[in-house]
Amino acid sequence: MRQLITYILIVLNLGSFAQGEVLKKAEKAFDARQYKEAADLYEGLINTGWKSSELYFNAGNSYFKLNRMGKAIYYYELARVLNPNDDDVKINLSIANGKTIDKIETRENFFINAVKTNVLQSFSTTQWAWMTILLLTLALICLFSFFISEPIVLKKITLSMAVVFVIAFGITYLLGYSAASAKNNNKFAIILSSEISIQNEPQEGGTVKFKLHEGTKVRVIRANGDWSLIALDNGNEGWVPVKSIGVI
Amino acid sequence: MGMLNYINSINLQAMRGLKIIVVLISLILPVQSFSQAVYAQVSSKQVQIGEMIEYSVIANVSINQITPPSFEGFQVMGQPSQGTSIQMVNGQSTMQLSVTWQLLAQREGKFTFGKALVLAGGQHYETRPIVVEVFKGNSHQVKSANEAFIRTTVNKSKCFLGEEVVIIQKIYSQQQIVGFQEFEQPAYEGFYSVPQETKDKTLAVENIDGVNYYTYELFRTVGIANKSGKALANPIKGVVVLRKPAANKARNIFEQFFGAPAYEDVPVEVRSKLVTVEVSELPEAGKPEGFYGAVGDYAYRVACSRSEVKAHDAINLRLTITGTGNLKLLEAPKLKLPQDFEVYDPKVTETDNSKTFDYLIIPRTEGTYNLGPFDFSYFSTVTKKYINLPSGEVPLKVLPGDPGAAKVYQPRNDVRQTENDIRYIKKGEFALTKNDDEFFNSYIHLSLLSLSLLGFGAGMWLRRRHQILNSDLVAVRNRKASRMASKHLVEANKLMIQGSKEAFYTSVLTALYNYLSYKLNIAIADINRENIQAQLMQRNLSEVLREDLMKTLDTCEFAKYAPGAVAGELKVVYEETARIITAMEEALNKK
Repeated sequence: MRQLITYILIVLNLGSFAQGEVLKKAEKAFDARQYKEAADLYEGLINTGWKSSELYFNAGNSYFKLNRMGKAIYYYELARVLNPNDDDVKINLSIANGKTIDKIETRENFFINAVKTNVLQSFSTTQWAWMTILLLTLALICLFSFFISEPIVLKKITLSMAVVFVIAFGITYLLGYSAASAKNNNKFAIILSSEISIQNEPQEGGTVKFKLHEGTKVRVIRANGDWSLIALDNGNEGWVPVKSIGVI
Repeated sequence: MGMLNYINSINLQAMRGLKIIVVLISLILPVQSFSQAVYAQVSSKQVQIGEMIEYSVIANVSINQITPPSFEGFQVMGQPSQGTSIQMVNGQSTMQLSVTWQLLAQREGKFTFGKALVLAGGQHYETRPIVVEVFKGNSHQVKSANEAFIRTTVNKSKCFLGEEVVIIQKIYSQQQIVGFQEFEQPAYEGFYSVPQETKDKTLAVENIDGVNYYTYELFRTVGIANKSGKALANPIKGVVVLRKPAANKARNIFEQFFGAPAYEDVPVEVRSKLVTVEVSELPEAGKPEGFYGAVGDYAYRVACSRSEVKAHDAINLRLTITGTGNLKLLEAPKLKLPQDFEVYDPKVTETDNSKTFDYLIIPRTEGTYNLGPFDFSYFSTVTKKYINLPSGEVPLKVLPGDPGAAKVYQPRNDVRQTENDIRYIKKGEFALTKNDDEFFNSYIHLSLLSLSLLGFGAGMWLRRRHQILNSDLVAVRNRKASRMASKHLVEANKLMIQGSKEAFYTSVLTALYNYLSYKLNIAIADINRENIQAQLMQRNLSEVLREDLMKTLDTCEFAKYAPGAVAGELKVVYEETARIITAMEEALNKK
């Protein structure tokens, strides 16, 4: 499946020789412990619109080495969105999260919610989409085999397989659909500044409600110009400058 | 408190003047050479103004003459009294003579009673001076502290880390000790302490600076210094019950007469002082590699249970350390063994002066090994140097293991992955994209889904077309059937006129079989009675017609080779065949 995606991505790949050169330079810088340089190179590619799970991961690693946990977590999260099953990303993200200052108790993460989130986040929406295509194709192949096969045993087998694949297709489609809509509706962001004040209004000099530190994950409710309304899992919300957060 | 020394003193006689002639009760007294044949003592070294103390000169030989010191600050009360005490110790009796002055403290301060010059047993003696302190006021605390106290003694005031120090807490009292109350256990800092059981705890008498004390050992502890710096024996306190002469209570006549107790038992609080021991680090110079902190004086032995063993069988390696020192604190040495040797935590057995470590070792692969060396080194408290006790190497031959013997490999080291550091960056070629659109439910996604549906639809359509094509073929043959039949019948008619009987019947049969083959869609090779019957039955052809058909077929088959020809017969068969085909055509096309 992943190979197929990779193949498709290679087909869609617009990356040219120049980008490959930049990546090599960044690798060298990383190996030479020139993490600042590596981070700048990776981020340069990202800022010009290039994206890939690996690119984000490497950028995250560079920032991790620079002890900039906010940026590191931000890029790890981006890498995870593109490829939720990458163990390297998961582990580095959890190590980086362990180094953040704010520990926020989650209020609403009930068991069901947690399971649902886990299931939805086990694949990226692109992977869900490919799975629907694969399953529907398999279901239709089985159904066709049912029609053309002569022996009754073969007919039984192919029909039941077709039913299973149709059901699997339905479930996958629903899960993918909810994952995609969750992605659209729930925007998360990572605090990038080492410390920011969360204000009660979207303008300079508002009353400070509370403070957050680099690396904390917040939910973005809406944006208003240069300000974003963010909320924490424990129910607190407030306004922060858009510059100080990185939206995933 | 049973084993009290029995002391009895008898006042004999008061004598006039300072020159005293001693009347010996016992005439035969062996002159024993005591280290201190003649000495002086006071009943108390601390006294309040207005109180009495006794100053005694004691000798174990007859005293001929005494010149007492000047009792400055004290008033001598009356004449000195003379006494004889017989001390019984383990059946041996010694007699002591004493001359005692009663002294009343008059002034505050420290006073020294100088030497008393004694002529006893024909020899001149000098007693040691005694310092007595006189207090003002009525401080019971001071008095009780003087009456009884706890002294903590250590056998060394400086030691090395890991060295043993014997710490003894003893109680001292001038009064007879009757009992103890509430003694707390001693507490130590910087020591690993091992309480010792003293076997015979008895009251003893000790003379300190000329004063006799009843003593009793409270605690004996072996402390092993486990921290450099200052190790502390913290003060302990407790309550001791002392038997004191009854205070000057007005005794009534009956008490006096009946001998009411002349003493009372008084609980007195006692306290010890803090004692410190300087603990110094072991010298770095010459510290052997395998030094585990053993300090003392040791011997060492290594023994292996077997010299030959099959793989997967266990052997026992025993390390024995004997001697004195911080044995209790010795940790099991870590064995350096070849790879593929499993070693389990040792079983530790400990006695007072030895410690044994039994290691269970399981070799997993065959071969000849020299295990070790398992050297043991310690810091000698005697020579103040590190000493290394070599073990030598232990030869071991491992034979091939029994097949099927425990193949359970316990991993020697748990592969414990501690994710301290992040995973490395991803190198090499990876796909970059600028595509930012959501793929799920995108046009591409939906069209790919539709594509697979389209593919299915196309497949089904192709199949249908094929079926139609197939079914058309049958219809064509169906339609052709009667034409085929009539073609053959025309030929049969010709043959009938020619009168060639055999060819006629062949032609009729061909007409019938071809018709049935086309009509019933049976290959000509597969044509037989059963097939025909089955197919016709399936198509609900009436039984009469089927029987007529079978009869005609029979007739033709039979008549084809039959001799002789009946002229009219051919015509009958011909007409019958034509009738049957027409009837069947009619019946089958109706369906």
